[in-house]
Amino acid sequence: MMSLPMLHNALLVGAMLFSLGLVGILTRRNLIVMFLCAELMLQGVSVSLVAWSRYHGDWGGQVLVIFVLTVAACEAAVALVFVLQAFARTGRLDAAAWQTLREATLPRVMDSKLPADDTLAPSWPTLSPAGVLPPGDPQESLQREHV
Amino acid sequence: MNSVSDLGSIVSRSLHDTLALSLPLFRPELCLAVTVVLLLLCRMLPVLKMLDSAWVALGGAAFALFYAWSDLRGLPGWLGGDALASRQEIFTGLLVFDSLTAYIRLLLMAFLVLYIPFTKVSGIPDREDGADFYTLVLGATLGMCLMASANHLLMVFMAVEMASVPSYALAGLLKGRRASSEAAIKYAVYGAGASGIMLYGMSLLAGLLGSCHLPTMARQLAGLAGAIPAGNLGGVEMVLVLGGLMLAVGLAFKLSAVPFHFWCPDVFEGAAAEVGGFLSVASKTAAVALLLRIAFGLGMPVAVLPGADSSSALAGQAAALQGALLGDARHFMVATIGLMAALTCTLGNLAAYGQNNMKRLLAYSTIAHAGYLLMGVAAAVALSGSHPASARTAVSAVAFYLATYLFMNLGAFAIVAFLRNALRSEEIASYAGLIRTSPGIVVATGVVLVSLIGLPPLAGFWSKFLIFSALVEAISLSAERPLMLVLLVVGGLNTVFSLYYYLRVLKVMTFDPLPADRPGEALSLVSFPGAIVTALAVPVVMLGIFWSGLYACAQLAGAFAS
Amino acid sequence: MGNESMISLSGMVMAPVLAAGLPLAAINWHSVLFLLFASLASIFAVGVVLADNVVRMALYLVFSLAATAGLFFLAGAEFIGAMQLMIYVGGTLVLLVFGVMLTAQAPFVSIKPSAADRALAGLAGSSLLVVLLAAALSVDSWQRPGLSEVTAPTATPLGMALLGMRVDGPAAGAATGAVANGYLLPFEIVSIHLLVVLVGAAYLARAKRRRTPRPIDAAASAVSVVEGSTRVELPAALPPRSGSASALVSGGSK
Repeated sequence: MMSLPMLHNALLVGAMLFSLGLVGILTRRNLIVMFLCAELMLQGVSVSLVAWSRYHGDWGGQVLVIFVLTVAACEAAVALVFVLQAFARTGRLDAAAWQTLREATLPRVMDSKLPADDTLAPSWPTLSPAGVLPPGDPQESLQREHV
Repeated sequence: MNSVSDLGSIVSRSLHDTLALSLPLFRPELCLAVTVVLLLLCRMLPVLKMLDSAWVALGGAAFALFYAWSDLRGLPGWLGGDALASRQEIFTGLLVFDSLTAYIRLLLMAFLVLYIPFTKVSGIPDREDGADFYTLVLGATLGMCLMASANHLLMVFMAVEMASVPSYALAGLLKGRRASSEAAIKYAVYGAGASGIMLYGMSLLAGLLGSCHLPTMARQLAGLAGAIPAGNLGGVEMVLVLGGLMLAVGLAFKLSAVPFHFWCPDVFEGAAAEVGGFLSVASKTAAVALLLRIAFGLGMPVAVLPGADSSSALAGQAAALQGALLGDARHFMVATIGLMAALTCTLGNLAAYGQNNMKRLLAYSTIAHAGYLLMGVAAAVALSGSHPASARTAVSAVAFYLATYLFMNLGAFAIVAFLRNALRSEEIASYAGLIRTSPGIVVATGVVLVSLIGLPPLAGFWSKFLIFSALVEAISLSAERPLMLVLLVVGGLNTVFSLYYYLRVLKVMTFDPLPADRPGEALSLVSFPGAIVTALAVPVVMLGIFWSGLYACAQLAGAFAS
Repeated sequence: MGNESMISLSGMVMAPVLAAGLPLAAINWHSVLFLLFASLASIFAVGVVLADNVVRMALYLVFSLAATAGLFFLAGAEFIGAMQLMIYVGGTLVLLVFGVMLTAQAPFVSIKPSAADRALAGLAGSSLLVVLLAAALSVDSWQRPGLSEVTAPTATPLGMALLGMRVDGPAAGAATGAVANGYLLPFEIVSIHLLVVLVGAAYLARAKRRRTPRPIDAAASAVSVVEGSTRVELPAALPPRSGSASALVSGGSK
């Protein structure tokens, strides 16, 4: 049954997933997508590790995959917190919005796409008012310029 | 499948290995783990809520320091004896306990014991955030201890992640600040990418060599190298080089070595100075230890094979034979590390020139010092094949450098943090005329910065001197003469370059006129912040004068390289 | 064991093909399924990298990971495959999809990289892919089938290995003196790691109770005024509030 060179093909698939993930991290600008692409990279590694484990008849590779899964879950949790914080602060998921920290001599990466959605009028969801306004400072509630 | 009767012996063997052999050598890490849990429990019980979490963390760190100290004292060759290489694999070969483990662990615990009072005084984790902050710090330090003792690629990966993920959270510690969020996001994104690349490199190496256990990998590598004359390798070299380079990417990211340093200035500038001190000192120490582990683990087969101790002379011969076969692997590692060292050192120093923000300046200074440390590692690996005694000296130089670096750099970050509290600014220009209001702090800053340059009476001089003498030895003895010569020249020139930007800070502090509208108050040495700064600056002076005791410890650490 | 799962999987595929009357014995079902899962995983991965819409992208990633789980089953790693489906697809990705939903309330944001960026990325990515593929193809001995067939369920030895006991011997071809590593230490230590990360994530996600600014915040606000010239840093003017209702909704919808 095992006529196909299993290891070889799995390595090819792993390399493909890995490099797609790396390209995604390097090019995409949406923060969530960058972390999704990091998961894709880890998947590439997992595929080749399982293939190696099968090839050598050793469980070490599979154990490594288990820990990769666990650690990836940790990373995803922390990353999600950062993304949500970033969104609450700037109202956008674009990595280009985060350029405050840079060399003083280097210019900002100017982007023609940025101003377009900045000038849009905000559209708030509308619901019929129900009940009384809850106590608290009205200025405190999250005020977004755009979504 | 083994039968059930075998299972009993497997269980008893496993219990013996874990309880009798491994756990007694794992006490500092156990202390940290227990403290992490205690910090959580303290928040749940109403009575314990009154207790400040800083003291709980400090108590745990002090216990860990005590055990780390007693582990180092228990090593053969402590104080005067001939430092012997003692190597014991614990937890079925996942970790290794030897003199380097004990030394680095002692450094990390000493760092914690100094760091917790510093953060308590500087007030960045306030009472409310303290428990979280110290949990993250202790968790990351636990990962760093594992980095220093990893003997298996699984543990390398786990340890790097355990040190990194809490560090991402620490970078975002100042939740209300945009810069802090930006630092955390950048660190996490780059870190996720770097750990993925490192993992792929590990999978290539482990798959090709058929094991994740570093000594076994070295033996397999020697077997492959022995097959080279037969000419039936079929492209194995390319896979090895690719795997090695991808593994190096992950390590370089942790070390902030060029070309994977770009996160470092941004993260240091955005995060609190306290967090910068943690990343700069503890993380760097552990990363250098991990680099030594991997370079020596893959480049030098261990002499005593597990299960072959009856014929250790034979095993030693076999190891020497394999060591000779691994010459190409060492050459590759020396070339990679050396090239990275030269680039890192030069770029770090040059980029520090134009900086106006003190934290950013210190970030580039951290990068430059990573370059000096890498030079020592390169010299050690270059010497390890032919001259083990000289390789030991080179490793001792790196270990000594790490110890002095702890005091110098933590001192620098502590001064930045306290001046931030006093002046509300971290710009270098805002330090103008500080000598008229707080002369003590300026003297301490002078001590720390001059030591970072490496000028004579201070500790930094000896560490640079030892690194450069290791390079000289590598020039005269090893086969990597041209590269080592280049490294020596680059290191010397960089030391001269670095004079300017460190002294510029001192010049601003002393000669520039005092602004009329300086906010905040003066910072005296007779206060809690002053006491912390003194406690960090005095060892820099003392180690400059009485350096032989520390160097004896460092030589003990160097014994692992034989 | 790989064979068993394979047979059951191929049985599902076989039913429609049987009706067509093809000579089934001639088909290597393992290869067919491998090709199917591998191409699904790769195609959806391309979709992840190229898609503009975040929600679609997350969905593509789910498909890609599920196809990868299929590859794990084919390689005889059922336990890993099941973990992949339960933890990764079921847990981690749902977490990230929550992130997508929490952050995209209006028409979904699409942030497109420029054409030059795409071309550069395509070039870099394809050269990386060429290097990796060349590495995978370079060793001749990897092109033959693996050394050993997996004959037992994988969950038991994996679980024993995680408890620190290796019940599987080292492979027949392995060098003598090879160490059988038990994985008790990482299994235990990862619990500390999870605890620390949980505490850290909870800290970051929690709102600060205090109202009075700390000294550091005051310093920070002074800094950000200097940087106020950058456009994204400070929104020019907040829109006038349309009334208490919208305040209620926008405050309550969080």
